Amino acid sequence: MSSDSRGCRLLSDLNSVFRKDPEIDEYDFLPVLEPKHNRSPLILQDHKLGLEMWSVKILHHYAYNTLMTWRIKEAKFLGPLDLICLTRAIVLVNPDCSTAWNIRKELIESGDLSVADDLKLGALVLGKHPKSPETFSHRNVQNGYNIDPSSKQPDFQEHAFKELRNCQKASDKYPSNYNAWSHRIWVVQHCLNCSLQVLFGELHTTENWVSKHISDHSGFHYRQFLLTSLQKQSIDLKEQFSVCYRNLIQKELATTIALIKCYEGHEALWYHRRYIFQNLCQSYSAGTLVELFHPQHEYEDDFALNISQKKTKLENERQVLLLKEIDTVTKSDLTSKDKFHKSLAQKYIDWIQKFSRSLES
Amino acid sequence: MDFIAHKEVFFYFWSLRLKAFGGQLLCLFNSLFPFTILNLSPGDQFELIIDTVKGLSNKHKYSVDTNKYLRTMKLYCIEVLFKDSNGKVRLLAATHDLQSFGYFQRSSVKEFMDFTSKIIVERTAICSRSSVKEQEYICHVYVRSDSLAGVVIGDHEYPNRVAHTLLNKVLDEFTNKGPKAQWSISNPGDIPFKELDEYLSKYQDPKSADAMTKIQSELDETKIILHNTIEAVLDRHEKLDNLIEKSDGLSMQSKAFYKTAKKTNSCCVIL
Amino acid sequence: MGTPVKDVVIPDSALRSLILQKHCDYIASYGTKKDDYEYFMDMMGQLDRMNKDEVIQFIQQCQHECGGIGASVGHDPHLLYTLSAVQILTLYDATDTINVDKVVDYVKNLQQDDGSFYGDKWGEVDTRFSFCAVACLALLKRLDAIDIEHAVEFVLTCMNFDGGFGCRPGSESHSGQIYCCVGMLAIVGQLHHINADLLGWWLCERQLPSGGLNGRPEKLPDVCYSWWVLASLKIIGKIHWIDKAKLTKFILACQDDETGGFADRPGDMVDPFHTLFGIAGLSLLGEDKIKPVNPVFCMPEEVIRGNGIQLELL
Repeated sequence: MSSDSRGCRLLSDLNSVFRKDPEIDEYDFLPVLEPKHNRSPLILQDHKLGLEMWSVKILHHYAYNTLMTWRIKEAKFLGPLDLICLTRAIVLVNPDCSTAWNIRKELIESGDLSVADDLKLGALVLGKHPKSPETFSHRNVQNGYNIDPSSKQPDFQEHAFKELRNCQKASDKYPSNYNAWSHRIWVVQHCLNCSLQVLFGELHTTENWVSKHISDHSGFHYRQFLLTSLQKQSIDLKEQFSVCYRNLIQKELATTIALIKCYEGHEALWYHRRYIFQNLCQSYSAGTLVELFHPQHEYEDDFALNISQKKTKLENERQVLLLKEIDTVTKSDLTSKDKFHKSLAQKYIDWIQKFSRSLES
Repeated sequence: MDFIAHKEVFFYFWSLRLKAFGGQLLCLFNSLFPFTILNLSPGDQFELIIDTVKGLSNKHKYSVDTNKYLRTMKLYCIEVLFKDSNGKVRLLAATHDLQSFGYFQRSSVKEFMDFTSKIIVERTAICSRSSVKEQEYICHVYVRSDSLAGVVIGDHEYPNRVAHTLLNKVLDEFTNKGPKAQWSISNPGDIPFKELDEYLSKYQDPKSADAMTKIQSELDETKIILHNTIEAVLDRHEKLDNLIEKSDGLSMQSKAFYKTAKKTNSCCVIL
Repeated sequence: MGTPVKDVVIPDSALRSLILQKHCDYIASYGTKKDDYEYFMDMMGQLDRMNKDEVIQFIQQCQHECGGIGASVGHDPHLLYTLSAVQILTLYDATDTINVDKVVDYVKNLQQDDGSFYGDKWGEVDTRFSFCAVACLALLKRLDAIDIEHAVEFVLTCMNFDGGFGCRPGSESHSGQIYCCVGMLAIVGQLHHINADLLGWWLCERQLPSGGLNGRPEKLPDVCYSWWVLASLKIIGKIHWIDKAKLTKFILACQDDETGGFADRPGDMVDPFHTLFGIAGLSLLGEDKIKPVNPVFCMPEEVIRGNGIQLELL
């Protein structure tokens, strides 16, 4: 059999598998390098699809060539259904073929493909290729449709929440998954408007996650993003949830110190601590700044004095914070037997000192 | 009654008074320090009170099903083995949790874990401990003076101290399960040791396990020998590829998985 | 007793010198894929081994009606590949072989009100695209076509507390993104916005005991990150903060003495992508068998100067 007719048959096999079971939730390539017997190289078990390795290249080659010939010359007519199937076969194997994803976007625009079906395929692809940049880029655009109020769909929020879960799954599968976490941030910002409820909920959701993935700096960064966003809305936070931002950040520090103690020698934890220290410093200055320029002081004679007094107080508070941190680290971490852990602790002290100096100047 | 993952609950409504939180119940109260954690176990049922935006309250009944959403494991397996006077190793008890691996790979992963445990115990001297790193996994091994050996396979983040404390406990408890004379002739299951499953789930979170064990443990961490790869454990003339090829415990499929995984080690390979 | 640091061990058998001719052969034999492999051939002084007319013809076929250029014939246009094409044509001094006005229009139309750039018509935003847009127009000497002030403002909103940059506002600092942002600011002469001390500190901490550099905390060292971190350090004037000898040793250990080419880490499979960054990295480290590379454009310095582009680095 020629490789073309084999490819054609593989594609139709794949299509019938998806017709038979639309709920396929996982796929993988099986290490079978040569075709055996006369049976199909596609195996379906418990909503999981297995493709024998030898067939993957043939399938991809056929689907890709067919699609590209059509794209360049448009000689052979391909209907929307053909295109949906061809692009599906391509992205399952090579999810970074942006042209295939683009063709799917065109099919959505023309109404031939539903957003939900397409997002479902993307989620399936991310199960096998959890960091694929083009799949995330495609989803970024897909979810972007929802931002435009004219095309806002009724299940818009539901999509967004599903998307957060998809990101989480991708982060489970691939450590420090930059694309997954950046996309998650984007969804919170643009589809969920950084609402307090979402930020707060995400803060809870990820607390357990990061404590089980302590070397995943991206997960900690996500919490930094959430905390910074909450800080910006700290007045509403106080009014709606009766939560004081300062308590949140103090709790974050306590949790991080506990993790550092349990897991020695992890850079990600120390970087997160830098953020917390920096944020605490900023929160001193932000609070005081409001007081400093409060209008009631405007015509007071001792206004100038007041400012300098408060500045001194502020600097003192920061100094106390710095000394306290140095003391804590010196006592509990610089005494560690683990050389690498000790070096991370020393780097932390150097950094916070450097940072504090840069605030003074 | 629904099975439910905590994230799903939170987002569909605006405010909650109780939330499911990965096998635990998290109460969200409007107080200065808003977090209180109650312990729940799989199978426990609980009630969720949800305040919607319009001020309506809804009550829902749920059951905790940890397996459904606690997919991220820190520990994958615990094994108890016996190393006889000829250096041959026999498996006595084992438990695995392979949820986080792909469906089609689980059986091979299990075979590889058993295989790895065996070859490392074979190469670990009596009365010694080692922790062997292989990619993102670490295999912790302890061979006691009476030739009873324990293996714990966890992810690379799992602290050595906690893993080796766990090994102490597991081996101590196993010793009470049956006479020593049986060790050299038993097969897995002959000496019942159902507590092993409990250890595997209890020690998933090393932070709480660590607090639990720290007081009693007098483990000298400096005695643990560290290796950066499995290859480092092997003798000079031994090759991992050959050992895998020769192994009876590995199926054809597992050997094939190994070969294809080896080929695609580079970060930028496009199929 | 120690924590296993995420790093590699360089074997004693690893190469310690540059096998330049092997790399040239490796790349030349990689001719089936016409992507962006021209640069390193030029840096190694062997551009004449490639067929110039064929390459130009290929790029012409990749340009679309809208002016943008795709990765290959039949592929959709994107800023990433548009920059690659412009870089290659600049090397050949042949930018006039494509419709430059249309390229400029394409880039210009992708800029948004907030100063950011879409990567293509579908609307993904990323600081990489800000770099692509600015680098592309700088090479075409048409920087006036876009709103630079807003473009800079957007890039600065992606700066984090650690001095680094992410792909979008709020995203994690990442060496690749830092290179793009720092490069973009260098081209438009706005490097003074950077906190060079803080950023330099973060970048230097990417060096691991093996000498290699990683892209983010707790990731493995990789030759491509060695380039991105190194180039960023060069641009902000802090390249002397890292251990150059150790890094050189790491990069050299990533060569394959049988096939030629560089891999991401010692012992892995080689590919053209890492070969480019290996060669370019060694050039920045002062390897005299390779032409000096420009840290912003990742192209030979003489080509950049020949085009009258003056960059002020810190």
